[in-house]
Amino acid sequence: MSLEPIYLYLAMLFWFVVIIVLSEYSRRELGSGVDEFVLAGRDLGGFVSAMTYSATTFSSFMMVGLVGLTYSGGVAAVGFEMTYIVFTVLLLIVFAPRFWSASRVYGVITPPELLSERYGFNAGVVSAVICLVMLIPYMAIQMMGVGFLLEGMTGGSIPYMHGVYLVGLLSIAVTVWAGMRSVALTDALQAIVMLVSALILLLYVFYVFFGSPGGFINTISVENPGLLGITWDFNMFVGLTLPWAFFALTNPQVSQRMFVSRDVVSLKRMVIYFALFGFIYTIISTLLGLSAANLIPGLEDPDNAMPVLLTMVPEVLGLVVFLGIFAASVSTLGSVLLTLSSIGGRDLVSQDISSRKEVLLNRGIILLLVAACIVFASMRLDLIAVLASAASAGLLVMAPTIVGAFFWKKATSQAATISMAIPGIIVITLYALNLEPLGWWPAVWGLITATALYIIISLTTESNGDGEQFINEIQREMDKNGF
Amino acid sequence: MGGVGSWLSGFLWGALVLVFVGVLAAVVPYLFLVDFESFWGPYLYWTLITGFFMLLGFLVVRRWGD
Repeated sequence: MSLEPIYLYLAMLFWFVVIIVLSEYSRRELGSGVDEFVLAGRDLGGFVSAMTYSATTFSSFMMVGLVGLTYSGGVAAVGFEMTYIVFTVLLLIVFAPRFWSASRVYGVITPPELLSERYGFNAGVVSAVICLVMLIPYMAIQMMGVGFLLEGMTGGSIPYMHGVYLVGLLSIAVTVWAGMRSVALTDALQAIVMLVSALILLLYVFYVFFGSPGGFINTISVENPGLLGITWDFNMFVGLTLPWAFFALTNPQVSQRMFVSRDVVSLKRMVIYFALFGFIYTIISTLLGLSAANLIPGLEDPDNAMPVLLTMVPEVLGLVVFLGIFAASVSTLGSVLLTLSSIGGRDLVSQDISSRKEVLLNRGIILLLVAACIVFASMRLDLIAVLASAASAGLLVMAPTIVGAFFWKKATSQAATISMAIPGIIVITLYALNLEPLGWWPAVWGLITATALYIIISLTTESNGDGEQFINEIQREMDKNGF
Repeated sequence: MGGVGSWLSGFLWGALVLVFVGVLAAVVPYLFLVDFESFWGPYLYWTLITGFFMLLGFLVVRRWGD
């Protein structure tokens, strides 16, 4: 049984109206200048900060990709996602105060701009280029996810491209309308919808198909015990997990969110609420994956597990869950769009234009990026999937430079620039040629070469002393704020 | 060698923690839980270590701003 297309269109129309109303409400709060447009004046409260962090991080991957990974590979997917949460909590403890303090001291708007402050202009430009190259396919995947979901849920009655256009249109509305103010507010609502709809679906599946949560555990333990063991080989686990482990630092759309909290209390709440959100959402998604493996075994494409599962539940519930997944895609895409537009405007085009013109430029870049993503998505190429997988590995090469910026005074500009550029090219090449030397995934090679180059070049080139000043100024700001 | 010394002092603590977490999250389950096909095996293990580090995180973050 497939869902009636008219209901899905009506659900998306309803969602569109809600988002527009919230965006218009946000626009009334919008002040002038690029700081307001991109960072909401660095004035977000704890709950909204946490929800926009969560909605940006957790895309439709959770309810489609992670469910599919658990469906096909069992609980190794749990380890992969839980490891991400542990690393993110630890990284936020160490780096959120530093990013937040640096944004106050230097007034930076984007993560690459932060690297420019620490290492000089070239490092910022290389970082900005890596972000743009790696994240455009990632954005296209958000559109493709909804396209495939709609097509799968309606048996092809809703064309794939309708989903692509709708996500693109809604993301433009969210971002262009009032920048971070509308993105953050709509993210907060979308995060709640994502979590609540997933929880309702899980409870329905437990009680209707398995009788109770205990019935679910018994059934899976007896009928699908293989999924409860570790089926991925170790290299696959490390290759998939490593880029995600450093996601909080290397993905600019999330690291930029460490700039936006109003005060220390808001930043504190952002970390705590995000961790709780991620933990609960991961448990729900993976349990749904195990449920699907028992209820609808034998699917050729594991990513179809969720769309097929949604055809087995009442239409209203299917629509609510679909809206949750749709919201996850829109919120992630909107956040990446806003971040990349600010990177394009601030780090690549010019830092010398007026604030008003920069906001205009950002809006123009958003439209261009959406157009580029629609073109990518329309190709429906396997290459997109490869590039999306390469994206997280490609961004990982920035990890040593970002970590060292805050801790190693001796690190030099040349080291930062080269240790991002060369490993970035290595990762893309390995992915393009489908190579895994020694059986290690490209992400592992990227991190090893980036770390080695960063250390060796820093030790063999002359530091200009800026590192010491940068680190000391941030430390003073942290001390002032009680970190 | 002063550069190396300062780098080590700055990085060592954090790097050791991350390596320790990496060992807990990846090496331990792959060494000891591979054939444990039960909810009380890898699933519970990964859930518990995540809960533990979240709790640790809450305790640290709680002191921010004091």
